[in-house]
Amino acid sequence: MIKYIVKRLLLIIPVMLAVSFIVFTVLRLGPVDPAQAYLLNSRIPPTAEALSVTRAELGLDKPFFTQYALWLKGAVQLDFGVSYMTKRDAFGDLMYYFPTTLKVTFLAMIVVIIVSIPLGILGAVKKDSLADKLIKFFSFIGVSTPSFWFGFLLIYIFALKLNILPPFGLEGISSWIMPILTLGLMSSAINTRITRTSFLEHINNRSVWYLKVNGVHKNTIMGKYVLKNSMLPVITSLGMHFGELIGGAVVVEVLFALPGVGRYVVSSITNHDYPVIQCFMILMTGVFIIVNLIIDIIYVYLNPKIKYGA
Amino acid sequence: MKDKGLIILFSLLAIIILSAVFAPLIAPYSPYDVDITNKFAPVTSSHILGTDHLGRDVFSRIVYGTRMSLISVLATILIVLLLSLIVGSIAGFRGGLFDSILMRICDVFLTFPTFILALFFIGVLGVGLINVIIAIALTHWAWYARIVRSIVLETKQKNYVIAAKCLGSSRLKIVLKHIMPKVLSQVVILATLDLGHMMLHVAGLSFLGLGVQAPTAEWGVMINDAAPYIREHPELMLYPGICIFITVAVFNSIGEKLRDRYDKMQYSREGEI
Repeated sequence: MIKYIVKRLLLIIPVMLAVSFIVFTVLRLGPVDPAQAYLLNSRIPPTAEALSVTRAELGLDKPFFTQYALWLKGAVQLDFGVSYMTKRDAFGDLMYYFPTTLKVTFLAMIVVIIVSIPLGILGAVKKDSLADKLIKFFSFIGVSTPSFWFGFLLIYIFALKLNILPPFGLEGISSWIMPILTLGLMSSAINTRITRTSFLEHINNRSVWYLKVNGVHKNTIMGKYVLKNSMLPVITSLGMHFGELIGGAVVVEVLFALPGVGRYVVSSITNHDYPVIQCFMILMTGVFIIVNLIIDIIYVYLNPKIKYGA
Repeated sequence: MKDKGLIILFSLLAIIILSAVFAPLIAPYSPYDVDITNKFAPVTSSHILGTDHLGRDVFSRIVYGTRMSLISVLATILIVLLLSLIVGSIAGFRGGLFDSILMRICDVFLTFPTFILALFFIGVLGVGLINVIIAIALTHWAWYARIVRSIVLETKQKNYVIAAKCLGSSRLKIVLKHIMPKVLSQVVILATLDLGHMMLHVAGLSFLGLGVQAPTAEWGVMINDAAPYIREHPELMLYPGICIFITVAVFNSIGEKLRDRYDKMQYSREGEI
């Protein structure tokens, strides 16, 4: 097991190198001239002279691979360059906002887990009952609702009409409730379905019938056999949901005016602030890869059929 | 075979498509006619859903919004299908080095979280509807390419394909005539299931101000426009939201029905070939 974990950890290095190279290259393939973007962000008219000075300053006159190597050398030491907009360290700026984003994402992930797994199991165990129909209805609504619109509905009902939750900003624990519900709705709905389908498949498995015939108690069958096996596809899908959640967090932060990376990144995108965009991509993808690694490890732990070496 | 649900869904879909096509005939006003003196007009016979903060007719904007939403998702899915069919069938049919290289490229695309990658592409390409379409297509195609490849690999082994090969059909003919129909029938179902999800992405990007720009009549933009007036005029936000919800729900439900039907067909056909 430890060998497997070490191997997977080492594999992160080439993946992150590939990610960094692609992010760096694709940004430079775009139609935007970074020197011009820099000058526009600094409110300096982009004359030919100013452009060439800026190019030299930002090292844009060097050959492409030298630029990448220099940037990578800095990035390894967590120096992602200076933001064109704020003229501050891009990594420092993002790290100021990043904890909030991570917190929203993980809290939403917890919501997804504690909502979808019990609902999915309940739906499967009481198949075709009223409860099952309601659960199906919930997941139908959840997958079709635009999350930001759902957020506005929550704001209108709970903040403006009932006045029990703060509409935006961070004022204590109650401020987190609406953002994480908004963020978690869609993934909860999808995951409820996945859990329900997977649980149903395992309940109807022949081995369950044999266990029943052999007089094994129902709770033991459910807990030991069905639950454990049916959770495998659910665990895999949680990795996918994490990607959706961390992306959705950007929207939710803008909506609820939370001090996460959301607004900062949106303005860095509209202003072509390359150092910030690069750092943002590396951070987000890095977290996504690490979370998926953890999920894979849990998966292997639960399902020893998978050989560690493969 | 009669399926009441499917009939209702297809009628809803027809209404959505018709209102997009005939928007100028259905909408009583231009979606861009500003009339500041008549802002936030209540629901009357001349403005069936009232007017917004610039006095524009909400109903007309909703009808025109259908166009933007449909065009954007259809364009996206077309690019996705085209890219994934080409890449997936080359990888699956040719195999070898081609296959490994193309699949590694897909892996790279799948390493990034979808929405974050879409944000990145907009950072590269700039803001606007066309760029949003390209960005969302680029973030979704890799997953389809993998599925196309696996179906091609599976179909390649079938006896009728081998028979066609023995009879001397050209590679292109085998792919287009014998393999593509099988691939398309499955991929189109997946695409229908995904349309709604893509539409939500488009709306989300519009909401962030990275997609369709005001004053264009688009549902995401309308929700964004209505946000500052949510306390006094929540209905302005309600209408476009409900439209997005219904359209996405219709796509999702049709996709599911088609998938269920396809699964049943596969099940009853098992053992045939």
